[in-house]
Amino acid sequence: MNNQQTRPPVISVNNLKVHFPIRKGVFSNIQGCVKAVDDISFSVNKGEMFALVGESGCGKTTTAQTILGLTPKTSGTIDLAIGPWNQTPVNWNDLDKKGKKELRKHLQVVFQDPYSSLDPRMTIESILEEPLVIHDYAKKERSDRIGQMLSKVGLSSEYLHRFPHEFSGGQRQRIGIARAFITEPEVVIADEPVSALDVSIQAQIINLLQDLQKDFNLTMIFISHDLAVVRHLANRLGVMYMGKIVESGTEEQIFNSPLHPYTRLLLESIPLPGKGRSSKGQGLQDEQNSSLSAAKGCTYYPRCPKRTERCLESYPDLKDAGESHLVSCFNC
Amino acid sequence: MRLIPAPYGFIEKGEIHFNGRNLLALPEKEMRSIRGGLISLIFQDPMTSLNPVFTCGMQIQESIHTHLSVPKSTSLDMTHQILKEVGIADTERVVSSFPHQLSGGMRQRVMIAMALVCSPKLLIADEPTTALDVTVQAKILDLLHTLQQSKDMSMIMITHNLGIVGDIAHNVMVMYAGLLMEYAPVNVLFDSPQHPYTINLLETIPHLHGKKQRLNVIPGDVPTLSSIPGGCPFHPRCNRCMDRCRTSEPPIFNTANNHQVRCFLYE
Ligand SMILES: Nc1ncnc2c1ncn2[C@@H]1O[C@H](COP(=O)(O)OP(=O)(O)OP(=O)(O)O)[C@@H](O)[C@H]1O
Ligand SMILES: [Mg+2]
Repeated sequence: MNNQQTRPPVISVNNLKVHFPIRKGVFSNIQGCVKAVDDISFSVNKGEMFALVGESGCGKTTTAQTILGLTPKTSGTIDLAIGPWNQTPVNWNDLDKKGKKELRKHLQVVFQDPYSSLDPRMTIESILEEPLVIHDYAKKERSDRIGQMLSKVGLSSEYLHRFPHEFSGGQRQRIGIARAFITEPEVVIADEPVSALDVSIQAQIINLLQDLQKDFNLTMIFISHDLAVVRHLANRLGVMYMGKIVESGTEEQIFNSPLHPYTRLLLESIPLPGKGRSSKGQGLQDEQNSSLSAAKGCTYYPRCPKRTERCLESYPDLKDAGESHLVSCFNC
Repeated sequence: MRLIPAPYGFIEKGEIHFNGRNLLALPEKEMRSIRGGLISLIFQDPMTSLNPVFTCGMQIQESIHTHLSVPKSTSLDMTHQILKEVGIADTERVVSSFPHQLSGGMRQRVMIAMALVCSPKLLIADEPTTALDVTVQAKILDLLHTLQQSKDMSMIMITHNLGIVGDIAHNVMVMYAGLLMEYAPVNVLFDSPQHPYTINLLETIPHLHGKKQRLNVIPGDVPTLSSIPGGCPFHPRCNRCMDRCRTSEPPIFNTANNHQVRCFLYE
């Protein structure tokens, strides 16, 4: 506990913006931009499972890619208190090549797609060994770690000399997870880690992620459209809508007392096994899903059942509705 | 769809009838006009079925011109219209974007639009909404409902999301390792599942109101198709496995009108 108070958040994102230019026509003129991520701030503490949820295209993957240093940001800051920098946060721009390499060792990623994220020409052994080679582990330690990691993810060591195409989707996903965890990273970002799996395999992977989190006191950001999975794994979550975080809070706050009208719609739209949805036929109202819009008001205005005049005039700041349950809405 | 790649796989036997015609006996040329026209397919992975070097608009228009003789201006209007229907408001941008410039869920919706634009009579959708959030998913499911009713479209939905099954299906077939395990009307399947695999499957779903206990899992792994165990393929993972399950493959038993189960428990 003490430790937590002195230690800065592991990831701290402040006023992050990531805009992509739109080019049209033969001369590739820039015609405005897509505000994929538009002024978001959040932080994730040590040992926390933070989930990002929200509409398709709202900027979750872009946020993750930017934290990983894979997509350049337009403005804002991302401070990472990870590895050797756990008391004095750094950001990617401060680091030289060597520093970046060191940071990557502690900040790993599980990609969504188990089919295309593993190199088909490499054996499982070389796939798992690669990050260890990059980070200069000795030969003996490499094979020890590979053995341990394989058994953690429930794969037999007789698979080591096989190639990715010989595995099922669930097995590949576990290889991807083994690869992400093999350097014992402090932080893992997982983008839809289970959406490609059938429910029985999905349950195994979820249990595995929970175990790994306990074993390593892992900090994790994960992105998922499956809110039942989110509820099961997350301590805290951020709900995104068109490049902004519209609500954030603990798993209980969001699921038991959602405040933002978008969060409510999201929770009502979940189809339940055998029952279907509670909000049949009212899915999306006529949507104006344009991250292009330059209007100064609330981006949810066109779809919002609670909208008022005021919502057209300015964008509501995130405000605390009690116990760090943040919501950006004038009317709730 | 007759898309099994020729030298590696082949259709050993059987017939596939569509509107009274055996698709397996049609010349390839005729099959090509059915594919994407009368029967349409939504693939699981948009990145492998969208062409990275053409804009999304060009690709949708192309599929319209393959099946309908309409002028370019009409196909462009149709493209915008169908994109709106799958929940994309900013159709101008999506039409002129290359696939990599869109989010995962937007690409998936471009695929859905492409499959629906020629009003197919049968839609085969392979995990069509895995990359979509629940509100967009709801919109797509509503759209499919509407098309099914207003255009008389039939649908084969392949999914591991049991919530979607409950939402959209009339009848459900549960498969394991290439075999039919259970077939039943949707409410029967959820209320009184019979096959041990189906029962297990329904127990492994994380529940929205559930506490954070560990999830139930079905022990073991899905067999790769080259290593399917003898007897009933599910027997190594089955909690009701009997001796004979190890040696002989159970046939399908009719346990009620329209309810079929491949399991010796129901002999
Ligand atoms: N390289 C790019 N060039 C132009 N636009 C881009 C690029 N990458 C992403 N975008 C746009 O940024 C927005 C956010 O995309 P992002 O992939 O972050 O969404 P997401 O929240 O992960 O959605 P999904 O749930 O569908 O995966 C989208 O409108 C997308 O079209
Ligand atoms: Mg994404």
